[in-house]
Amino acid sequence: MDSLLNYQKASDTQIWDDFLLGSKDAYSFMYTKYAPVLYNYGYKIAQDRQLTEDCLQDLFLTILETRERLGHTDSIKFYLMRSLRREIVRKLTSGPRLTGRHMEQHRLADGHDIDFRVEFQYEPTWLDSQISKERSEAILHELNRLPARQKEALFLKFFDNLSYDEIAGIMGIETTSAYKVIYKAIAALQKRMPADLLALLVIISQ
Amino acid sequence: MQNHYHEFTSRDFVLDEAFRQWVFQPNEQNMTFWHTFMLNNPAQQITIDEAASLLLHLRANYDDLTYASQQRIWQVLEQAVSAQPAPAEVRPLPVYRRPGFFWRMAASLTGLLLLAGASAWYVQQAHQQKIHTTFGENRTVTLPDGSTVLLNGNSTLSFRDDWDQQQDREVWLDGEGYFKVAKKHRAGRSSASPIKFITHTPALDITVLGTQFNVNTRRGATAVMLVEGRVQLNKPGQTRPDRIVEMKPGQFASAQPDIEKVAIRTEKSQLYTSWTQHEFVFENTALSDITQQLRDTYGINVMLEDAELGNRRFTGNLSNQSTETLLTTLALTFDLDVQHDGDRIILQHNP
Repeated sequence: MDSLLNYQKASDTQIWDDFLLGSKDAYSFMYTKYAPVLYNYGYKIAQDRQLTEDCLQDLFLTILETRERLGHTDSIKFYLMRSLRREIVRKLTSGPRLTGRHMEQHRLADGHDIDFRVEFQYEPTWLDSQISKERSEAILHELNRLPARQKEALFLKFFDNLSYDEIAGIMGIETTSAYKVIYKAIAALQKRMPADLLALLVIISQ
Repeated sequence: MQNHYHEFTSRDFVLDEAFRQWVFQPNEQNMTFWHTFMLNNPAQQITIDEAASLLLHLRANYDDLTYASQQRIWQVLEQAVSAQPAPAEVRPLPVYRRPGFFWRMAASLTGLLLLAGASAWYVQQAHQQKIHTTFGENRTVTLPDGSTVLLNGNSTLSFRDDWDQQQDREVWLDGEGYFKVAKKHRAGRSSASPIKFITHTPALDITVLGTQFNVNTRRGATAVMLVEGRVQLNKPGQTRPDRIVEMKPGQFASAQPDIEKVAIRTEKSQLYTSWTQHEFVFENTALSDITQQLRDTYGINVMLEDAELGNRRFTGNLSNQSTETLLTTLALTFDLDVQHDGDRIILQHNP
């Protein structure tokens, strides 16, 4: 396990290159580090434990068996998330799984619909006292009823901390679109903020 | 620091990296900066509050990959990793690889595979059997030839269910199993030659004719305890006759995936087969080994208060295989306190 620790401080480029050269430690490190992150993301699209685990397993088997032909990357997380999403979408759209539970779907470039089920939550922190319970509930309510596409982009941006380029790459859209989707989501939220707050905003900004 | 923060709307703040950092990872430096900014720009206070509040509501629920699943997938991957360096060999692939995977690999590899070929994969797939036990579950699997495998908890046995009377019998094991292999001879021949039974594990292939033995493949290493009969061991892919190791009853063999050497020593078989009788038998066994067993077979996460505790040795024989009783016995023996913390159990010194 010592060798796994060595990778903690290594750059993505280095870990990935070691993996391409056949390092089992690099491979093992990537799996240990990213499997939970990938599952957390993938499950929100697949909404099926078995399917998500299958795709996760297939993804890691595929990169192992095709590594001689893989290119370089400086963001392993991005690379793996993008591949996992493709794999899940492919399985969802090819199989008979696409059923009624896909309520809030969004269109992919290839015309298929996918859902993104995330439950946004409030994380109480040091700002606690400044937010009332009602306001908090109102925000969450609005957030959770945004279209799937906007929720996915928000999740990638604010939960997984990815750049606009990376979000675009993962979701298969243009970078400018990624920016717009997130901008729009935030604008929509602001529009639906509780009236008392808006009123206050108007007064103050005058 | 050049900025236009005094002109920012809450939306701009939400999208600003430095602002997000302050909200999610406040430190002395960004606290100082933002508090100074708010003092100097009281008009922005409400905007900042709104932006921060929005951000704090953008935490998301976490869908957990269970520890068991993470381990199970890793064992499959590890098997694939150890299979990597071996030269291309024609042998049936483990069933772990699911149909979708076959499809994609088959298609992407060459594009030459014709539809007929692809459907052959499917036919083969249809004959793949995979038996998995959950934590703490023991199950006897009867193979097509009448041989049996008693699977310990959290173990997987894979095999094809269409064995004929001519070919070697092959199974793949992940976890722990006790094998009782029936002797078989090739049908329809005057000089009836015996049919081999091969157990594949990441670190060893175990070849027998008819015998009883225990195999444990936890954490990548493979351990074989031979009870009766004779077995031959070889590293996967290694077929040179002078590299084949023979075991005799009462011997214990262990091997690691990347290491050529197979270590053999004499052991009391009871220590390795007691689980098949629903017993715990330990002889001078390190506490760390016991907790590892509990994790592998029962999915019980036992933490030891300090590393020194892991080196303590335990000898005992519990006829009823109850993990609760085992933990109590360990606690009494070593004067420990058993603490339940969520799904973890912590063994610590009594004050």
